[in-house]
Amino acid sequence: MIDSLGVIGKLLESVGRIGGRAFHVVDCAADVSPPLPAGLSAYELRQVEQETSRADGAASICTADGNWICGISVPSEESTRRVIFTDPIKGKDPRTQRDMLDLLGHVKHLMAERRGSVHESTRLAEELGQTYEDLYLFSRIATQVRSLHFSKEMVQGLLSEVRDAMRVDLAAAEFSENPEDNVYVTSPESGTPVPDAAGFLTRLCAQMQNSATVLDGNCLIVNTTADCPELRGMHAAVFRALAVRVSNGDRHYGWLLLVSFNMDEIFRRGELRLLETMAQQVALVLANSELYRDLELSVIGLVKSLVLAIEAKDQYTRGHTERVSEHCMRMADELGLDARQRQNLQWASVLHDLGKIGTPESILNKPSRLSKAEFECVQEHPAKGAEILASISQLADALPAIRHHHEHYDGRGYPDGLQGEQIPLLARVIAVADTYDAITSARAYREARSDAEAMHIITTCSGTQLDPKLTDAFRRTLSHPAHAAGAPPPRVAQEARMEHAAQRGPQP
Amino acid sequence: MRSSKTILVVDDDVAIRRAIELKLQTAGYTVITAADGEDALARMQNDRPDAVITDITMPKIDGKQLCELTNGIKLQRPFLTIIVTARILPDEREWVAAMTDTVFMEKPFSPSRMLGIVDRYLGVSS
Repeated sequence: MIDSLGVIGKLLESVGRIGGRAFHVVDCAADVSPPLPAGLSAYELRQVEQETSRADGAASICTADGNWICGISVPSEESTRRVIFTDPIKGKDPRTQRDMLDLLGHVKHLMAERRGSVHESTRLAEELGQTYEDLYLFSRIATQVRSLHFSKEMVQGLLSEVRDAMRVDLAAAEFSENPEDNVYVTSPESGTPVPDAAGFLTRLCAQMQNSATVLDGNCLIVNTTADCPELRGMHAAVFRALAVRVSNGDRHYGWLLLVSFNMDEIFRRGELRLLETMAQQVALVLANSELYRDLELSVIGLVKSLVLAIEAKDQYTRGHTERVSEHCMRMADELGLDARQRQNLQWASVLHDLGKIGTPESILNKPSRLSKAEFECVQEHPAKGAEILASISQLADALPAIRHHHEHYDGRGYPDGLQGEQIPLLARVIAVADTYDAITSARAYREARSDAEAMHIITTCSGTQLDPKLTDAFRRTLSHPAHAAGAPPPRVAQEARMEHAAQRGPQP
Repeated sequence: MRSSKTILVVDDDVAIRRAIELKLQTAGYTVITAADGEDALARMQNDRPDAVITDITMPKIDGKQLCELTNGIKLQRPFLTIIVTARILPDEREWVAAMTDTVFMEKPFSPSRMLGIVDRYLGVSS
């Protein structure tokens, strides 16, 4: 406006010079008396102001001394009205009067147009700014869902990003079936703290689920709860909410939900679409995780059957696999193995004797010493076990540990006579645990030995049969209070752990 | 607080310039604009802005030259420079890193984040 007034002021100045007239610009605030141009009374100015504000275009006013003034009223950015008018003009030439009214009428029109286009350009600039915000947000979100596997951390990262980009006070993911996966993030500089955010979110989701009216299909967009009776009572303060259903086909997982107490902004259509895109991504990741879990559970079922198959055959292995696995996992803790190695070790330790399925029962349960041929037959079991499992791709990384768990550190073991570090680490771990458990359990041909005796034997084998670093580690696990305190954990614990490991899914 | 600070926005695209200007103006900053590097240089010398937001690809003097020409001024009178660009050439990060008080913003950029960076640099709480 100031700009346009500047240009128009110059224009009028030029016109005035040609016609020998001066123009005045006066801001008329309700409570302020503007300075009066020379020869004009306050009464006359008020008259000019009143007449011009009534007229569509320009207006003319007669002064007390029979002259006339022509003027226009133009809106200004401030709450005052701005009046542009001529000096009092002598004589009542109707043509001059008409020309002046036309001139000022055009000026008024010009200023209105200019004002409109300034508003339009501001609106466009605002829109462009918002488009940039959306684009930025999309570019950030697109790279967020990198993993095909569901994790709370992933959802949390996603929500933090949305909270910052959309400037909301609360961003949440609610999963009705798995509330333990629920995540929410609040704004650190939020003006309105949310005292019981978790409870508020749960109530909000329940309310959305139950009331079809607030939901527009699979989403909710309420820009002020003041107008929404169903959500109004959910929080003491007025808020706005945006929610999108996380679903895949008919399967409903939960909601992505944004809440803001800043009522100066609104949720835009673009933000809704973005949240929908995110919800789809989260749903896909969830569906993928479910599929993976099914697959893992079927592998676990298979493994359980296989373990039962060996145990049915060899009475002495009953409980053995479970105890070896327990020892192995304690060593995994001691050695600080990563999640992937732990999982492989778990599979391998549970299945290490599977190959004995191919060993005749007469040999496995023979109470006396084995003949050379019989012993050779038993020696086939590590390789056989690995062969049997070769077609289960999920177990591929566990196979070397199964195949080599009877290798000796000095190279005199079987099946391949590997030596030292050539033997896979997990196989060396199983070897220690397996040896220890074999000594401490009763066998067809001998009684069980005590823990102390077993540890003594292990120490004598250290460096020849067993990896000395690992026998040391094993000794440390035995002295831990957790182990010293009680009996090995029951079988249920073992199964629960296997399932837990499966739910964690594949490592990236 | 913000009104006492002047931000110079340099871009040859009037729409982008206006969008950034509006964001900063709405927040309360005093905003001046320039359509090319030459104009920007003059305004930087005359109006002494507290922060400069500039595009890289511009007529006459480009964003990189502008930064190099004004980096010396920053020794006496430090100010923030935000460089906005769509394409990041391999060497761009290097020369930007060598400049005083200069940060990069990749397009698509978020005007809100830009405002946040300016606020933080000038010590204005949002």
